[in-house]
Amino acid sequence: MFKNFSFKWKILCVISVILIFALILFSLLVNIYEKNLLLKINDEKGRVIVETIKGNLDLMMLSGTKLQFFDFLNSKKTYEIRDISILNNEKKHILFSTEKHIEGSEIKKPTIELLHDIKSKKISAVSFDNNMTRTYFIYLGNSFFKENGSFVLKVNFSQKRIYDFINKQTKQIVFLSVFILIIGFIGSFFFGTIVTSPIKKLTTGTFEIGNGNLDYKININSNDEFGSLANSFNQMAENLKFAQKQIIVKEIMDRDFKIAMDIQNALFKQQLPESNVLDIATHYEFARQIGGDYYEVLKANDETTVLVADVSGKGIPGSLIMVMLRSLIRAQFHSEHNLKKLILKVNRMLMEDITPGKFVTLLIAKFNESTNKLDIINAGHIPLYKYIAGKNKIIEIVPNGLGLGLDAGVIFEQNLELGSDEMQLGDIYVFCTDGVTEAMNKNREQFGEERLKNAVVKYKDRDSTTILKNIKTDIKEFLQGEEFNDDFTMVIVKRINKEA
Amino acid sequence: MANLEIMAEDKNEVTVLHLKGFLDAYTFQDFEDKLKELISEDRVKIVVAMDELDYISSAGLGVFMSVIGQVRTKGGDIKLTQLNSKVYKVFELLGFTKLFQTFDNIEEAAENFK
Repeated sequence: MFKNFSFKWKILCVISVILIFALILFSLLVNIYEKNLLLKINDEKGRVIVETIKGNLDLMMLSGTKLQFFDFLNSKKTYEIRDISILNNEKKHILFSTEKHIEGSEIKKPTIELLHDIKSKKISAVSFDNNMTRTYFIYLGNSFFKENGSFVLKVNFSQKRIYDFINKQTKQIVFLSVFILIIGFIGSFFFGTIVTSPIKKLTTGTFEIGNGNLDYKININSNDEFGSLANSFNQMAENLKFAQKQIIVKEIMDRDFKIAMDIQNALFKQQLPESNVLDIATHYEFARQIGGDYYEVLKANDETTVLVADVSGKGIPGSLIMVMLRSLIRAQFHSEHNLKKLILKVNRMLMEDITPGKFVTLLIAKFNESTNKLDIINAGHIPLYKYIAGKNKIIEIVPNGLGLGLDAGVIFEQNLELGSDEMQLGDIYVFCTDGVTEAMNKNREQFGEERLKNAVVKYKDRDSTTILKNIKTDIKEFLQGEEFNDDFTMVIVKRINKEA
Repeated sequence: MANLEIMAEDKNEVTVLHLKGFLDAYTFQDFEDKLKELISEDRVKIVVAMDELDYISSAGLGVFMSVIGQVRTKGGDIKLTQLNSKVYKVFELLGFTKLFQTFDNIEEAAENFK
């Protein structure tokens, strides 16, 4: 039982027990004091009675008969005065009120000692039988019924009444104390149970929740602190459950996201086709999350096709459209050699599945390595930048065209222009997405077309890979530690010498 | 991060939305919500005034495309006014000027609804 009590309750129990025992002890001490007081009062009363009897006897002495004396002594007997007798100088009873003492019987030994100098004392007293009886002696005189000697009156007083009273009282105190002790224990046990039961419930609840059982509810219907604590506790469990659910959902999403990223990365990890006259470098990196940029370098016979595209919106939706577009381009590429027809077809098919509000901008160019001619389509994309080696300058090539996914019909077709160009040795074509030109620094200043063009001119004599690397370094410097805010895609195609 | 302020003004049955700031991936949702609210109230004759619009990204352009179908089905349209050269270039590049009518001022655009 005590094992289950808290430390506080154990201390309370010990203190209660000590207090109760102290109370018992105090009551008993009071009882003893009361007993002594009663005995003292009794003693005084006894002495007065004895003296009164003596006075009566003195009066009777002159005229009374022995029978009269006997009657008198008997009449004085009460509950307290058990017997009265008169002793002669040989300490023998000569007159007595009870059958206990017969004439001529001797008194007990210790009493005899008391009678030694009884004449000089007023009253002598002694207690017998464990204080139950108190005996008084008083000197009567030297003549009694014409006999000479020394005579003593002996009165036996019973103190049994006092002891009975005191004993009864002691019993009552002990009984009452034991009763209080038992009631106290039972009471504190039940009271303790009432007080500790909510704590037990809370402890159980903590344990359950700690073990992951977030559906556990603590049922305390009181309006006190425990009730509100239980409410907060249940609310906490609910919040934890919600948070846990969120974490699980997020974990699933993160996992899916990672898979999507891996798939997307795999799409860009393809080997570039070999070419003797075109030096091609590509770079793609997404900002923060999986992106909607896409590039492709495809070769069929002596024709190399380069395209970059930018899907509006990032994340999974953007990337899904990107994959859709890639599949459409790849599926149609080998059967449709006309660039314009290819894009019209792709747009129509894309329109069937694209979400309203989503669109794709695309820049595609088909380089013919034999004729040095190229076809260009720009569907709402930023321009194709061309460095003309012979003129040492940069131009923008922007044939008309709407973004893919904006219109399936006439408007798209009417506005789609097929551009063309001719390349010379040393010419450089730069395909990129707006993540390059719109890369923004802390002051919300964009890298811009001019800086891009200048960079191309600056690095014109290097190979494509180096040009691209250097441009990227320039942009990073411009950003002064800012992250790219959009996907960064760039393809550089440089016309080189066959022997190179 | 730059903000987008949208101020709506009713001119009879035409609603004019004044855009100020940056309409990009961070702010396009506010603009889209505003347009959807107008559509739900059948206020589909919409003029978007862009004289104070500093920048529009592809996400911002996407908003126009995502609602224009609903607007036109309900017999309305979205007309664009006061595009600065930078914003106009973006619209033109993407072919939006073929899909949306543009005007020099709000009055002309509102008049065009009649």
